[in-house]
Amino acid sequence: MIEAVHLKKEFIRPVKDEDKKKGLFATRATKESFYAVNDINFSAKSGEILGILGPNGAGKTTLLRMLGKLMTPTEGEIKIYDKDGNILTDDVSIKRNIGYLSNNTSLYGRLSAKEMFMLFGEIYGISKEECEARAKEVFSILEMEEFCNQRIEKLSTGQRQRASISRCLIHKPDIYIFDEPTLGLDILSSETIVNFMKEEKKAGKTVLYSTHYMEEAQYLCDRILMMYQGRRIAYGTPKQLMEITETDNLRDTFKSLIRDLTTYDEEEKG
Amino acid sequence: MRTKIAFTLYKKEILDLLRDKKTVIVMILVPILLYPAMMLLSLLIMKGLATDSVERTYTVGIVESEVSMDIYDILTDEKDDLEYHFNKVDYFTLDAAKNALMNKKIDLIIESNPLSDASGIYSDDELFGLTFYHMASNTQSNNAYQNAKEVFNAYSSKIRKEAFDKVYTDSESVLNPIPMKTESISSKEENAGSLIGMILPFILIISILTGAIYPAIDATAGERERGTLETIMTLPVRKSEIMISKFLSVSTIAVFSALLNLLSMFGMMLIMVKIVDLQGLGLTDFQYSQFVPAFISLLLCLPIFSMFASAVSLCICIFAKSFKEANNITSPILIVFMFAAMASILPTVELNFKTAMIPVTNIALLIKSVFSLDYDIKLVAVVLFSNLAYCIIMVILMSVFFSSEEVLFGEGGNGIHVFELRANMKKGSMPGYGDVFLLFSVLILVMIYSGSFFVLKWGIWGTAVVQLLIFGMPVLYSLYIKADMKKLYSLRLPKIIDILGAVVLWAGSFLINQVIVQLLSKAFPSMVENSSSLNDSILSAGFVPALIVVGFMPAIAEEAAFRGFLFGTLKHKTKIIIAIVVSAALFGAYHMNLLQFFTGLFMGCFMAYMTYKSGSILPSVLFHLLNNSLSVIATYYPVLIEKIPVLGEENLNVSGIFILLGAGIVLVTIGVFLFMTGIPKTKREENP
Repeated sequence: MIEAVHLKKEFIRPVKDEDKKKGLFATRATKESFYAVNDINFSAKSGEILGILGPNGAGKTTLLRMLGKLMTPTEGEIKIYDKDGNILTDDVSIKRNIGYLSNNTSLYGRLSAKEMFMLFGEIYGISKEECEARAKEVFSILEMEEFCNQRIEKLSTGQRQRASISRCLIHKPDIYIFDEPTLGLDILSSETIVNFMKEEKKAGKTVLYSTHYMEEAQYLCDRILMMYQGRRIAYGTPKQLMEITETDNLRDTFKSLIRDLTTYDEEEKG
Repeated sequence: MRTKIAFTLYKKEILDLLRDKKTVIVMILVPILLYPAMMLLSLLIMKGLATDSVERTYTVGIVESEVSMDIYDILTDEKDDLEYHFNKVDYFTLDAAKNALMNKKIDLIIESNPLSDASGIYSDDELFGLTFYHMASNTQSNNAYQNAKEVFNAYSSKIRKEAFDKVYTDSESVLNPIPMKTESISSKEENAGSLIGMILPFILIISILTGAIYPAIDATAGERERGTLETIMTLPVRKSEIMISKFLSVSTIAVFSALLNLLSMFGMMLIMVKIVDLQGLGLTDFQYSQFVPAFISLLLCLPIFSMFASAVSLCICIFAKSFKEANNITSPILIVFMFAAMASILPTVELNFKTAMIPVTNIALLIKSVFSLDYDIKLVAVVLFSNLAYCIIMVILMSVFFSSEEVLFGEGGNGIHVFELRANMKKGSMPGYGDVFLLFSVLILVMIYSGSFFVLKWGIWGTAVVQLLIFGMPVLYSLYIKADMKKLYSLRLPKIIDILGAVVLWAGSFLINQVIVQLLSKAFPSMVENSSSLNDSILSAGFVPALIVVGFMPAIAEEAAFRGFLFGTLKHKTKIIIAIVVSAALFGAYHMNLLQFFTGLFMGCFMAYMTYKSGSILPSVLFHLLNNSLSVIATYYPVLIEKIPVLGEENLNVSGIFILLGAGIVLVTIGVFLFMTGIPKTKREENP
């Protein structure tokens, strides 16, 4: 189980301000801080798929990076529980319980999928024999036997995506964090991934997953967290969200929520 | 850090690096092919030179005169046993001959005129005076002149000897009353060693650095570009483990490449020696065993230096977002290393306790000294340990950079801004770690190279030029990258209380500083030796110029560089205490003198603290101005200082030290208190 409590992440970005023109050294642009993730709360139980939706720049990747312990939150807390319900505290043991996959996590092109699997297995502290057995198992599930000894740089996009998934499976994590895993994949390849997530859900794992594909999310997710400009704008089951906005599919729900917000913003400014 | 994890990561790094064609080419093919190619080329050039000189013919223009026929006879007479000969072209006037020389039709003009024998000794011979005209810029003409002079020198000796033979029975002892012989007692081994010691360090240092740079780029910018950096971050590893594994793998490759370079080079040398042997020039009894200590110290140096080179390259490449950017920012390092390695070629630069502390140069000099079979084991130890220390410093720096999310995920723009397109630079941006690194390196280089040059050339006005450079560089740099000048240089008016605080804090820290100087100079008397030369140049300039150049200018220029650019950047990037200490340490290091390092570090901490607390650079400018002006006044009017009890005494006793220390601490506490009573900094930034 994974829980986020008032999670915030602050970044610095340049901002243009045409009004400030004073003195010799005045500049028209300064940097300002902003919250890429602003006060996000949620919890995801075992056997649940939580979809994280939002337009580009909503803060999805930053949120997932914090959950995967790649970044440290500026404020707030992430609580990650192991199977026995204990909270994990140190980064290393948290990472042991998480399988993190995003389109930013490429693979070592000069190694083969098998070599990478074995090396990563060693880092997760799995013995060589166990790792061999695990590789055999995972490669057969993902139908990778043919190409697991080729260098990754020579593989096709779909094959590479499967190799990426195999990387997340080495240590049998309890929590999966997938950042747009189906982005740019063909129907067959994305089906492999969607099926995989469903299987893992059945096995009682927690899956956090961000996407732009509303149909996919509607059919796959147990609960949905919608983000806009770093904030949580909706949180609930797909059905609940559709009821609130009086729409019949998630795509319209999303549009309606965003539209409401932008008109609200404009009214505020006006 | 867990060793096993680091080792697994190391295995992965090595495997990944060795499968990269570029690394392998730079590491293995270049050393294996470079030296044979170089030897082949040098043999060809030598052969070309040899055949050239055998068949050298010069065309000499002879200006007609009564004795011109004799001159040509003398020139051609000697040709049998010489490697050159002369052709003649006659000219009636010198101008015509000069014209021909300028058009390169002839190589040399000889103008002659008969002389009467005033001494009477040479009456039998025709005497003449000669004027040679040649083109000093032309090699052929120069050689013609040298060779012709040789011929006439020989002729001159010949007629002198003939004349003397008539008068004296033993003319040789008259002509040459002090026979001189020269014999070198340095052994063949020493000769060969000093030659090797000159060339080897340069080649070795450059090959280690190139061996380190490519894997370093691949392991940092390459990983980022390929997107595997984030993958490795998802693994249950600590950043320190990732970093150590990268550092060790790059070092391994650098060491390996250095060893290959060495082997290939010595292989070639052995072949050369064999060739020389076959020609019967005798190196047969060459004692290779004499070089065993040299090789051992070489083998010790290589890994340590490779580690240093790897740490430096990693430190810099970590900022690059792509291969291309990394290539751009590493080329200045290559140039700096090349300059530092050149020290071994300069004959006057030798390994001593000072040069043993300069990175890169110390390795070059160490290799030079061990191969000249003239080395001090203490210095070898100093070189090895100082390199180890630099290495550790670089690794610490690297871990600071590596633990920064901004550097890892590239969202803060920490790269070196100057290398970006100016159009892409955002107005009001702040410089990053990379800029601090670059600017400080350039400042140091300016101090080392042009600093001493200007000071030697123009004395105290040279110091003024250096100060202008030190002011100009950070200011132009930050203007170029469109930095927010007001924020970076803390340009705002301080409160009255801050000014008061600066004066009190200066007085206190000055007293404590005196104690530090006293104690250090007692502990290490050699530390204070070179301060007198500065005093001389101050004294020779006159009081007002000295006050301007030594008192006023550094207060502006050095404050702009250190409390402005460097501290201004660091305070936004890291914890304030780290920013203060690092900027002060850089300020100390900039003085390039161990004693001033400590005093600079000490005073620098206070000055950065004041800039931080008051939000204005002016208190530290005032602090600096007071401090430097006092030293100028002390130089001109030592009487004034001597009158002050305790402070004026040359050698302090224990009670004096305690009085100074006590007074200093009280004043510093008051000063710090004055700064603390000001408005908290955060409030000021909100209401500027």
